[in-house]
Amino acid sequence: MMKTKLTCLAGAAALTAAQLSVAGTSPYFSPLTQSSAVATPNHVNELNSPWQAPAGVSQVKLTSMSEIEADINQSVIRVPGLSTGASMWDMVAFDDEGENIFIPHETFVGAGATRYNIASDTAEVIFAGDMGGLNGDWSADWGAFDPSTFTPNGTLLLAEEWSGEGRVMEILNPMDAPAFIEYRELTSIINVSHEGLRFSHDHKTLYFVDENNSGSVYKFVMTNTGDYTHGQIFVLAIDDFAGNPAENYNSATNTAAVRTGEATWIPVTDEDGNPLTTIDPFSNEGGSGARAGRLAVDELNATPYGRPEDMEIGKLKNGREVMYFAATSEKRVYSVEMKNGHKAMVRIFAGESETEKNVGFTPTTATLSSPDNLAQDALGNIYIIEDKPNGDDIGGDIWFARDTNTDGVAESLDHFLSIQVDGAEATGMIFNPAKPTQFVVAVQHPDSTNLDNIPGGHGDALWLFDVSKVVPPKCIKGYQKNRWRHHYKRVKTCSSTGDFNFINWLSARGYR
Amino acid sequence: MLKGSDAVVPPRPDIHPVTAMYNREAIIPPMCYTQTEGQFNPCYVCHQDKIPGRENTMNDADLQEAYSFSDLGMTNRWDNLFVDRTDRVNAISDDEIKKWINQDNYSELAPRLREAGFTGWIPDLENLQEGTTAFDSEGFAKDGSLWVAFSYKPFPSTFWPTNGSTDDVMIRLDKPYRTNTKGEYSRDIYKANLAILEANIKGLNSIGSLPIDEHNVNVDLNGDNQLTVITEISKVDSYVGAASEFFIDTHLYPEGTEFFHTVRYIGIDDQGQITNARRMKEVRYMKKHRTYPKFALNQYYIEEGWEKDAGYLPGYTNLGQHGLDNGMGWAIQGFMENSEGRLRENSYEETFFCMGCHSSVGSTIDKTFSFSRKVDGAEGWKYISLKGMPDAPNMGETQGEIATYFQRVGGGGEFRSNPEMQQRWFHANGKPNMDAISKAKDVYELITPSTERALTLNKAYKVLVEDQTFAYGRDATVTSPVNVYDKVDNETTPTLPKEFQYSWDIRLDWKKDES
Repeated sequence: MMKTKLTCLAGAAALTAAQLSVAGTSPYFSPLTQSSAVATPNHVNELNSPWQAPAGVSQVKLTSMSEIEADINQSVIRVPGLSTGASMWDMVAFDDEGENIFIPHETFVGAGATRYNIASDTAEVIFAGDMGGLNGDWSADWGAFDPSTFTPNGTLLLAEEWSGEGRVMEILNPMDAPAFIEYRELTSIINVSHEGLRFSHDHKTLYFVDENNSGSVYKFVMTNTGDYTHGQIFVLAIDDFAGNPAENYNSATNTAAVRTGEATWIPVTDEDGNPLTTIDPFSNEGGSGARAGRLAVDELNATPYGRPEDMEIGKLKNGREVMYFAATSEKRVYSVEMKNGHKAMVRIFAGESETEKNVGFTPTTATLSSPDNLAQDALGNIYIIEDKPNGDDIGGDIWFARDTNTDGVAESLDHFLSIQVDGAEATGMIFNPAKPTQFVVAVQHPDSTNLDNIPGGHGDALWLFDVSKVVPPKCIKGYQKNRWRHHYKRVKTCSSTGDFNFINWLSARGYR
Repeated sequence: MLKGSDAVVPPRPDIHPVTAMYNREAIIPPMCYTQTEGQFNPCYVCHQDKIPGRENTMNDADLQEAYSFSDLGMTNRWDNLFVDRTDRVNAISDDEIKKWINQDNYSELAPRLREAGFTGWIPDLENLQEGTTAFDSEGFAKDGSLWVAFSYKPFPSTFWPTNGSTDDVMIRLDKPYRTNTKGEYSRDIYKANLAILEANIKGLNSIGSLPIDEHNVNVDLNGDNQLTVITEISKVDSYVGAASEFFIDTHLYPEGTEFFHTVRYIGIDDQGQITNARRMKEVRYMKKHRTYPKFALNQYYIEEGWEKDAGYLPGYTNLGQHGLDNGMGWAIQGFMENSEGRLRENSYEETFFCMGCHSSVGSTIDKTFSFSRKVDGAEGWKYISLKGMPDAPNMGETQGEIATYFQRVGGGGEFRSNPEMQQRWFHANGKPNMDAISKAKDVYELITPSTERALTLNKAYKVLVEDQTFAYGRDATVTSPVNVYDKVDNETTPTLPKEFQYSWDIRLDWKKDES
């Protein structure tokens, strides 16, 4: 059955965030004041409104495991015996027209991708491993596809995180029928625990990270723009980092080491892609705990961070490209400003210890815990999605990072959403490139995915949000005492009373 | 809520089960609050670094040195340890407790669960309350349930009868491990696969077995180039029968493996010998629903560490009436006595208690304790029997495990609060009496209590049952142990110097004893 999908900005120009995002905004919603309590599996909240949300933010289910599996004409990956981890919907990707959503599956074997078409409300598996990984044979199997990214070439990238061999796969014709899907391994990208994968604005560079407590940040600069098979790889190194790159970010050696400030992109390969390290970073043999790329860049004094996860590419007010990446273990998000040549400036964009919350609004009791995924709206605002422990009775949150002066340092973390689904985390938040008031978020590994325990369980699901009818926040004017710095600062919550909403901002930025 | 219910499936609060927990750190068991005083180390039997080839990469030997708890865990919430039950224990007569422990509270459990529409595992081994007579001469359940009993050396201290409980463990492999390629049951195939599993869990190249007719297995298991009846298997690199192509690796159980564990009162037979009582304190069950390869398990250990480093409290996937998922492929559920002594489903928190030992300690093999400690080969395929069992040393050691434990711990239990053990096996100066220990005939003599102590411990536990306060602890103590902290302080609590920390292998070298 077709669902009614909320739409707005009919005929909206398909302008990408990259084209228009030049400045962040104040929050266009009234922030939440606490995290949600988690309900029982298949609770009405899970079925109808998995997130606690500000007034006027709508949420409509696009699809779920139970819905897909009830329809013989649809398909989705479910690996037998994996309990709640049987499907693991992760960082989804839109196609450019915002009509299809690609769902990567982070299962430890048999990983693949499902394509979901919004108009027809149907899902089908377009790519999946053969489960050979169970016996150590990864030749036709993949593990833990965490990220997916729709490329400027119209292909789809998938990459292995903690399972498999740390490879990046490219689906060459992701819109075709499953029987005709073609793919290749991008052996031009080194093997790490992949999570964030994003292109630069000029499409010449692919940024990526290594999710590990000694993980680093990378870029792949194509020899020819659009050719993902040839290029040079660099790793980010803070110029003043005096720690041990082979150790965790928080080891005794590294805990006091500087990991922000001026940085340099150090070549990992030459311009032809040949390794400059003793260890071959392209080896598939590294294993889950010791990806070859990670070991190789230890030779280059690459700076370790606390589990770099998702990333977004934006633009600062000074016009420079900026990468935001979440460092989960550090409870922080960093910004990396791209400077001339291979130089960069690394700052703490937002963090539990560094950034106040709900500035100018009623405070929240929530804390920034395990920032994992990131999203970016058409205005350039960054959203931070948590991966809190999923056996807890309090759900993970989604935060709006307020950086109104777009300097790469957020002034406030504003509490946006909070999940209330048992055993689940929110993943894959991404805005629709064609309908900028809409975004989707996945419910990953809820307890209801385990059908042995919850017969008829709802399972992993994908939800569509729309902020076009969000109730604007009440403007607060005046000054607020900064609780850490002990001085008063001006409160900026909105531009003027009554006229503040997301649509107006979009219109002001050129969206019709 | 528990105290007032006679239901076999007690009511649960209508809130998230974690919200209803008293102790969010219930995975830290009471013995972790023992006072080591800078020299006494009962911690080594749980907390170990990785042994090459093993799947267990918890690498938590550092917990021998320091307590390293979360802020919440710094307070000992096992309040029952600090309760003086002397008066209530004294009010129970010997005859009363003897009658109590001899009652069968097991047989009614399965029908009651079925009647209640219980969806989790329902105990399916008839007459288990009778212990050894429920099994044939090879340890197979007489009821055809295909549970197989094995005899093992109880894990140091916690499962020594002298410290409060007796127990037994049974294993059952999934159907493909019991059948030929036509799907027909074959006892020879089952016995062969049990032996192959034993060898792999223990990391041995060969293993003794119950008599197996190789003709029925159609594999030359002992490598003598002929098919005969054998009692030794040297081909242990693959399973046989319908499972012959299934995944196999050392130190890993195959998918579908089940363990059935009962924890019982201390029985006393007509001759005054210590036995497993008919009455059960707990019925515990584990099933491996997914065999993860070692690389995946390693990742789960890494993630467990990440979450702990981030300051998060432990959490597990709730399987409802199937218990809790330890995240490593095992589902764990259990039953305890209600206030009237009838077995009932565990509360969420009571099962949560099980998860620490069965997921995040470094010494286990595939999250289990007993099977790797089974008496090798055919002799170990029977209902547990401590009589005649030698005090075999752990792998890599020469002295008996129990004797070594006495030396390292300075007592007959984690809290050094067992006066009878102190009197039997220690000098007045606190040093182990190695001469007396060496003269002990068997494990039975070393770790079973006197009749008087057994009765007292049984009474103490019955008081706990009446109170239904297992969330505050389930240790059968009469008075508070002296050597236990009610709070730990990382600034002031003594740590253990290196010379008192030990590498240890949970496996036993039964052959060494023979020599």
